[in-house]
Amino acid sequence: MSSEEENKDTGPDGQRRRPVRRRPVRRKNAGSNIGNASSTTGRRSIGRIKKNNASSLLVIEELPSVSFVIGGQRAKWFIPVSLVVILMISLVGGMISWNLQYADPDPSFEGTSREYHDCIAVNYKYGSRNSSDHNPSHPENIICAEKQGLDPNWSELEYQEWIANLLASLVTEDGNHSGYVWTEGGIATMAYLLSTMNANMSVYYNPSAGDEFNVTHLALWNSGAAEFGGGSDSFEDLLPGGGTPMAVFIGSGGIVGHKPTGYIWSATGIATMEYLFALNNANLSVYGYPSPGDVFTNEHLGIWNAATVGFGGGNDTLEHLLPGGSSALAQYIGPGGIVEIAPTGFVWTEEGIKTMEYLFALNNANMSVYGYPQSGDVFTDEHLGIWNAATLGFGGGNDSLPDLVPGGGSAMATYIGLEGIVTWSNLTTMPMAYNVSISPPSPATSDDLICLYEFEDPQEDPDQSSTRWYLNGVRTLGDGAPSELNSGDEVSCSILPSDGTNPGFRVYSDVVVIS
Amino acid sequence: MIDGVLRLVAKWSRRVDSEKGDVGESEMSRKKLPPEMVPWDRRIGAWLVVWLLVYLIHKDLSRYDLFQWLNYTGANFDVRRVESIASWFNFIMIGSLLMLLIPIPILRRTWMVVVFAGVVLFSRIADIWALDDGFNSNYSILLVMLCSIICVTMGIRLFLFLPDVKSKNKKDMALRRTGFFALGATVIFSDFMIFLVPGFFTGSSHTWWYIHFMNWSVVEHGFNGLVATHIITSVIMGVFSFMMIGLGVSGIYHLVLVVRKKRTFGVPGIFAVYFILMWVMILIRFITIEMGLTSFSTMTGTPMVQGNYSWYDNNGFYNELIVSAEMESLSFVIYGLTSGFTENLIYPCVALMHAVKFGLIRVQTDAEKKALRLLSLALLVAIAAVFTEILQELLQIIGIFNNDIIFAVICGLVLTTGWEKRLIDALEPEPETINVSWKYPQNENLLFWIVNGIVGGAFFLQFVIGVFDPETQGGLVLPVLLFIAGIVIASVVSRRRTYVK
Repeated sequence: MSSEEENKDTGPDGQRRRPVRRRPVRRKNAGSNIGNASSTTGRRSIGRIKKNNASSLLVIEELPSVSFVIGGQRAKWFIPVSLVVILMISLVGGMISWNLQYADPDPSFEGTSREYHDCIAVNYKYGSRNSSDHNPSHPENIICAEKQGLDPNWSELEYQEWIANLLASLVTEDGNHSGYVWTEGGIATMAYLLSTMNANMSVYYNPSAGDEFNVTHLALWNSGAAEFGGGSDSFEDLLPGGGTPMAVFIGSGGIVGHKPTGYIWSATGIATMEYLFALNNANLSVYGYPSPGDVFTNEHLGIWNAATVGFGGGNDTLEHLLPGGSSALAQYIGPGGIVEIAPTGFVWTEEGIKTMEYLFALNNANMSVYGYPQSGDVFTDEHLGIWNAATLGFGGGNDSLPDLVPGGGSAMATYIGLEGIVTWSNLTTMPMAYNVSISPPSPATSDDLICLYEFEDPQEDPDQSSTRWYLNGVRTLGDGAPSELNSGDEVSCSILPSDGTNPGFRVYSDVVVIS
Repeated sequence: MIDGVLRLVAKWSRRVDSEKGDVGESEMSRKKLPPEMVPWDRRIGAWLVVWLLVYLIHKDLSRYDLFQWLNYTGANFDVRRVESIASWFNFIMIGSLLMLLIPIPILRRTWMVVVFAGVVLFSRIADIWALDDGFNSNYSILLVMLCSIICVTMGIRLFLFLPDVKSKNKKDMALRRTGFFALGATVIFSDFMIFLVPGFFTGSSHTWWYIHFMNWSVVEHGFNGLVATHIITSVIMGVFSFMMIGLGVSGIYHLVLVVRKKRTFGVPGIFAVYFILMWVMILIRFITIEMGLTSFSTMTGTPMVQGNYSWYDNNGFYNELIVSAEMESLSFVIYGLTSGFTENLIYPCVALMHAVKFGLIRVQTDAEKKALRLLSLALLVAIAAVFTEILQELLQIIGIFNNDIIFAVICGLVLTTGWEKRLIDALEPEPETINVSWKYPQNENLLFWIVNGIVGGAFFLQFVIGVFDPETQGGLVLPVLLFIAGIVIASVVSRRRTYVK
């Protein structure tokens, strides 16, 4: 006896029970009862239900027709009626919406609904500045624009108005540098947006490595991201791993990075941070986990000074933190400092900065090429690449960093002058100027102006600094103090500290207004 | 290399068998087992439900920061698009196969399943092509909704012409089985679009979810583009409306007969209550929008955050919407109580209970049955809580006094009337749903592997893209190879398991 049969004839207590005669299920008609089926053993068991122990699995071999499954006994009328009802519902809902929204064109439009909506397409095709077929003067566009009471060039006009309103409502650049630059991911994102959405370049322009990401960019970004769930990002949100809601689109790599300050974390600095964290369990937000090559930002400097006040520090400059620097914390961090200069060792000169501004004003050249460097910024390898790419058409394109220093061998020397666009910044031997100011502090038109400063040189070499004067923001001829002053003029000066061997960073005075 | 891996797996498998005391291949005469006691529809149905739960869990987890590694964070748009298609295809295929294949197949040949999957995939890709050309086609949604007509009609048929529950006539059983399943599948397809049904008949612009894309069709293709998109979208919305109106009305009809003691509550009763619950939510959401108290995104159905929004309508007029902080707050409440509640609680629970009801997941022991009853009770309590919360919100809006304690007392009283027992009893497996099956006319094993290959493959692709973040389309080759290797290994292991001495 099979186990199956044993189970059938054995009660729950395991005792054998009296066999029961099984009566076949009565069939009303062939093929309509569950008895017309086979068990899973494949054996036909027409006329009776095969029970197997706990589960009497029954497999019915004959599938009912699809129409029967859907509509049952009433399939003949139920299915058609259902389909008709669906069509009727679709028709009613669709017609209601059509009549409300599309049937009648704008009352000011002379024509049918078809003509009206076709004109919308024409307007977009030829009138939109984002269309690849943009041609406001196309005859069809002019006809449609006339019918709709629009200017054929409506898109451009709207855009100009929009951008003006947008910029007016945004916190535009205040002259302060943000401390952030576009990252490779950000550059790629902009390129992608431009290629797929034909987004406006003035909003999503094509940045390049090293370009600054300023407050205006941030405001434009937030404006554009608002409809996608963003709109309130800070600079930090856009850093790699930042908390922008747009991370789902731009990835975790962010679109901005810290702008090079010219200083990076040294190995000693990194070790110091690890030591401080282990010692004090200090907050990550204070010390972070820098890695080799990371920029030592101005924010880092601020945090450093805030945290070292209690130890007699709190007033360090970036230079103080260099190896051998005069940081008040030198006894703790040792002679190795915690920062070192950025790898290139070259910084922008004022001539370089002015050159960039001039080129931008002259050519309306793309920021990705020339950018807006700031005094003291590192002239990075990326800058060099951009410079060479941009000057290729002018006989350049092969400059090295030493070629761009004053008197360097750049093929572009005839354009950029003898003062070069970068300078070697040997910080350990660099002279420095402090407290640059104009005397008298509140001058009158008849006063003779003097540019005062303090000078310091590590080698105690004599001061050979040079002075420049600026009248209403414009460098004076011959760099002399302005001789003719009018009430309301704005005057400032700058000092390029020099010991005759090494130049330092140029330092600017505050602006004074002639009374 | 794959062959080598398979040999290694086979060798390892033989060694394990030998260590366990099983007879190794070399010393046994290979003999195929008789067909398993689990029928094909239960096996495949169980897998589909498992895939559905895995999909829902994956989708929910990927919203949290802790599981961001599940999301694709690369910058390659094509890879992101593949991930999006795979995710959509995965969900749609599960739902479609549940209603077209289980329990009585509409797709009666294995090749039909493959062709159907191809059509679904093609419809999605065609949508992308059309959108790239500036035309909002919505072919994929149209296809899905046309398929859903089958199960919606089955559900209405069940409510209206419920066969005698005691009848053992195989045709009656077929009608009951397909009707029950169809209602479950309908729930899975009831996404946020059902909340737009009332607006379909009032012409409210906020319920015409495609309105921005409609604009796009107009500006790219003029009048003809507008008409084409409008027709497609009207049919889609028409099917959604047919679903909610038809099932709602016929569900009430069923409950009326239950009250008049002409029918038992049963599984149809559960779904009838479900559709009434959904209609309450639909109307509440619609009314709050119409009253200007809430605002939802027309494309996603999610609440709009505080701010000023502007757009051009189909007539080229400039429109502006101001969403206040109060609107945003109430929108989030209503959203949580409607879409959030249904998507995060109702759908998974219905899928799970459906699987239990039909033996896709077996509940046999007393402990398992108690666990099921507890889960059911928890769901009912959650539904009651949502109902009372919605009611409180409404009363607050219209300025009528309400109090938590009063509602708690009312809920307590309702729970003591015993109605919940009827619901829970109806959820428990029945002999008929467990023990009766219809034979698939073709090779069941082949069907099993094809279905799992199609659905699992889509999920696997989506998962691997999210984890590995390939930056190029070439990076997809490895996941595909891994998937093929996995299928082959699983097939080999499965084949070995079907042979014993």
